[in-house]
Amino acid sequence: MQEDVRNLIKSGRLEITMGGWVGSEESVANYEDIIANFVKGHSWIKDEFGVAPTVGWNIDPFGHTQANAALYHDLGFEALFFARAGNDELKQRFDPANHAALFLWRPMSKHFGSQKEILGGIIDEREDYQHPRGFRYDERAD
Amino acid sequence: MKNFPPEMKVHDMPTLNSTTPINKIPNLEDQRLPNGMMNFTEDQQQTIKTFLKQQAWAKNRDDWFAKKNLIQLVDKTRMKDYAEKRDKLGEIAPRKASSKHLNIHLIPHTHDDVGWIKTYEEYFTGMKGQAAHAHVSQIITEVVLELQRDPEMKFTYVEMKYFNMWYTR
Repeated sequence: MQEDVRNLIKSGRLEITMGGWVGSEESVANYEDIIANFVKGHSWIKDEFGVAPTVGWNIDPFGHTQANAALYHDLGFEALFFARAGNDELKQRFDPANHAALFLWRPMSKHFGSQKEILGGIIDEREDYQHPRGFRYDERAD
Repeated sequence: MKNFPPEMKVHDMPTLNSTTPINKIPNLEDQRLPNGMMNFTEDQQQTIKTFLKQQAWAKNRDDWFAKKNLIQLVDKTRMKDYAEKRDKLGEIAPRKASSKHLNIHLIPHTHDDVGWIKTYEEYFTGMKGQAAHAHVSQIITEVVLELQRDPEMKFTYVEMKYFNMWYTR
């Protein structure tokens, strides 16, 4: 089965997103701990499968700052999808007039300019951050 | 994966795939469902209707990306291409509704906390089901079996602690 999994990852049908040892926490974690989490996860992925995650998928943790965005760019991510934005922000970003739920994030742009661009995507968690209603396929779902 | 209608798979959404012209999607004002939607459960139909209500948002968004030549979000080359072209193109031009498509990205995933209301061992083995039903090793096993069974299926996984436990057990 290990061989099958290696092939699935190689062909891109099973894609490792984020790839930290655990889901990354943003708001209270020290940056050294965030980095250590990714070093452990990404090193194992590289050793075992020879790939590097390029898409961040961080749907539960709270508090994404521009420092996080800059760090994720440096970790090799091209995009970051997350759900836990504030309600006011969600309201504005999901307003049809603003089309702002998907955006190009330039953290600390006064300092870095466009050096650290990362594509940001917000999921509307006012409905549910995990899955749209009716699309949950967990055998043991409540 | 018990709730899949037997004749229906995720990638078989007939009128809602990436090449569906937006003007083929029914007007929301009438409550008809797109072809094939009868195969979905009531909850799923409600979700898709809610999504279609955001059509204006989706159209604008797709237009914006089409303008910037950003088609595949995870395509490295296109990201760079996009970054270069964006500044040249300047302001976003008004959209043309006629020729645009509605792109729906289905991202199959699981979200497995490495310890929350159970320990990570309990999550992995499915023990203490009364506290939380999650059984991570079963999820990963079933996903891999499903991927092998259907070559069109895809999946994403995030938490390497669990993936490592499953892979090396």
